[in-house]
Amino acid sequence: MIELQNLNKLFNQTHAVDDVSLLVNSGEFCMLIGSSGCGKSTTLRMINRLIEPTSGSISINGEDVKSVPVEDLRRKIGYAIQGVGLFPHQDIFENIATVPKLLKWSKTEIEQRVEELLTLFHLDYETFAHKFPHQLSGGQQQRVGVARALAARPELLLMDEPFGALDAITRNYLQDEMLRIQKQLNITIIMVTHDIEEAVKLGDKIAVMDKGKLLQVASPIELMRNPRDGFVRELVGGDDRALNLLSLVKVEDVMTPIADIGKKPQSQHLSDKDNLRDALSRLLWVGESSLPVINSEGKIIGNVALVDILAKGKKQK
Amino acid sequence: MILRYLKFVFPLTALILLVLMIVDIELFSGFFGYFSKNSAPAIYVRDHYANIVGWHLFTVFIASVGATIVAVSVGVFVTRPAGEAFMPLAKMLANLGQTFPPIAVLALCVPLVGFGMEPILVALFLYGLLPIFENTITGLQQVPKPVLEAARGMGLTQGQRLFNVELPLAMPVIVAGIRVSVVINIGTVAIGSTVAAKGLGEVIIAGLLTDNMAFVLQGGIMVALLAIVIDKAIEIISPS
Repeated sequence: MIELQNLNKLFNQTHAVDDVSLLVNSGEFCMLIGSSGCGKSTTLRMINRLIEPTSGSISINGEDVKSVPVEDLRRKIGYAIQGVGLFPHQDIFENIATVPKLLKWSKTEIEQRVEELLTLFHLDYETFAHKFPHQLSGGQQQRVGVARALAARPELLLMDEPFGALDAITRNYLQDEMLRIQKQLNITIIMVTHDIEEAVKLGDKIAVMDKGKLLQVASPIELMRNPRDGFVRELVGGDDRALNLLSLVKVEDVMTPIADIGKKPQSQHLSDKDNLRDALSRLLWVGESSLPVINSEGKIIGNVALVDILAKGKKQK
Repeated sequence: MILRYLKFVFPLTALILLVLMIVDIELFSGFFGYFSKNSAPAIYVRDHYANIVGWHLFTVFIASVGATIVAVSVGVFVTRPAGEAFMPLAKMLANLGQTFPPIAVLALCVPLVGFGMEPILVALFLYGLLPIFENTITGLQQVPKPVLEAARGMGLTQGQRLFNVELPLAMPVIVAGIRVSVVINIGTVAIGSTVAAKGLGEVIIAGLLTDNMAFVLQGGIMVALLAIVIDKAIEIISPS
C-alpha cells in the first residue's frame, strides 16, 4: 500500500504539486493522468525520491520512504521511463542484471532471473541476451526497460509514460503485456500517462491531475460515468467516451448464454474475453446484428446482439 | 576500397621508417649526405637514437599522464552539481594554459626548477590540459539524459553512476582529447632541448647551431614520424 499525504512541491515560486493525497492499494494498477506540466511526473518521482517534496509524506506499506537510505529505497522500486535509458555500452543481459548486481545476488541467481524475465516478455534468451540496445527496435528496448525495472522482484513499479514514444500497434501490444504481467506477478503499478484511452484500458484506478492538484480519483467506469465538472469532464468527455466505456466491459458479461448445441462456430464469431468496443467494431464490419460467442476451447457459449452492446454504451442516469 | 587500406599503409610506412632510423640511422647516410655542407657529418652520433627517442617519448608520457589525471579529475568535478560553479573558472585556466606559449613557460620555469627535463614537463603539462579537459566535459555532458535518469532511479550511487555509466560512455571522447594532446606534445617537446632536456630536439638544435641541415631534417622527420605512429596507435587502442 502506497500512501501520499498532503504532498507539495514548489519549484521556485510555482506550485508544481499542490496538496496531493492519494492511496494506492497493493496489487492495484493506478494511472496518474493529466496534461503535460500538471505535476504527475513530479508526483511519481517523489515516490522514489528522485525529487524531494517541499512538504508532505509518502509511505510504502506504512514505512516512510525517508526512513531508508535513498539508494536502498530505489533498488526496491522498479522504475521505467519513456526514454527507456538502457545503458548503451552494456548488452541486454547486463542491463537487466543491473539492480540484482547492486544487491549482490549470486551469478546463477542473476542468470536465472534474466532468463526468466526475457521469457516473460517473449524475448528469446539466446537471441537477445547478448545484443546491445541499439540493435533492438523501440518496442523491444522498452520491453527490456520494463524487464530491467522488474529484475529485483520489486513489489512496486513506477512507470513514467513508458509507451509514449512508441507507434500505436507496439503501444497496444505492450499495454496488453503490462496487464498480463501485472496480474501474473501481482505487483502494484503506478503509471503516468496523458492518454485517457491508455488510462481506461490499464487502470484499476485513475487519478486525474491538473495544475498540480489532484482533481478526482476513481475507477475507470466511475470516471466515465460521473466525471467532476471542469478538467475531468473535458478529459473523459470526448466523442469516444461511449467507446471507452464499452472497452471496459467484456463480451461474456452481456451475452445471452446458450447451451452448446455442438454446432461448429461460423467463420465470424466473438470471443468471450473480447471487450465490447472490439465486439462492436466486428459487428459493424461484418454487417451482422448479432454474432455467436465462443470460449477459449472454441465452443459456442452464447450470443451477443448489437442492441445489447448499444445499451451498455449509453449515458446512464 | 583502396582508400580503406591507404588509411593503414601511411602509418605503417611511417612506423617502418621510424624503426629503421632508430635501429640503424647509417642506412640513411646517403640521403642525409645531400643536405650536409662542407663535409660536415651527415649523421648525428653524439647519442644512440634509441636513447634519444626513448627520452623524447618518456617526457611526453609523463607530462600527458599528469595532464590526463588533472584534466579528467577537474572535468569530472565541474560536471558534478557540487562543482558546477567552478566550470567557468576551470575553463578559463585551461584556456590560459593553452594560450601561454610553451617557450615562455620554459623561460619562467628555468629559474625555478633549473635546466633539464623539469621545465619542459611543466610546459607540456600546461599545454596538454585543454584538449583533455574540454573533451572530458563534452563527453560527460553528452551522456543521454534518460540513461542518467534510469541509473539514478535504479539506485546507483553517485560513484557507481560515474564509474559504471558516465565515464565508460564518455571514454571515446576523452581518449580523443588525450590523443590530440599527446600528438601536440610530441612536437612541442622538441623545444625542451633549448633548456637541456633530452630528446629529438637536441638533434634539431645541434643542426641549427652548426648550420647543418642534415641534423635538422633527421630530428624533424623523426618527430613527425613519431607523431603519426603514436596518433594511429592511440586510435587503434581507443574504445569505439
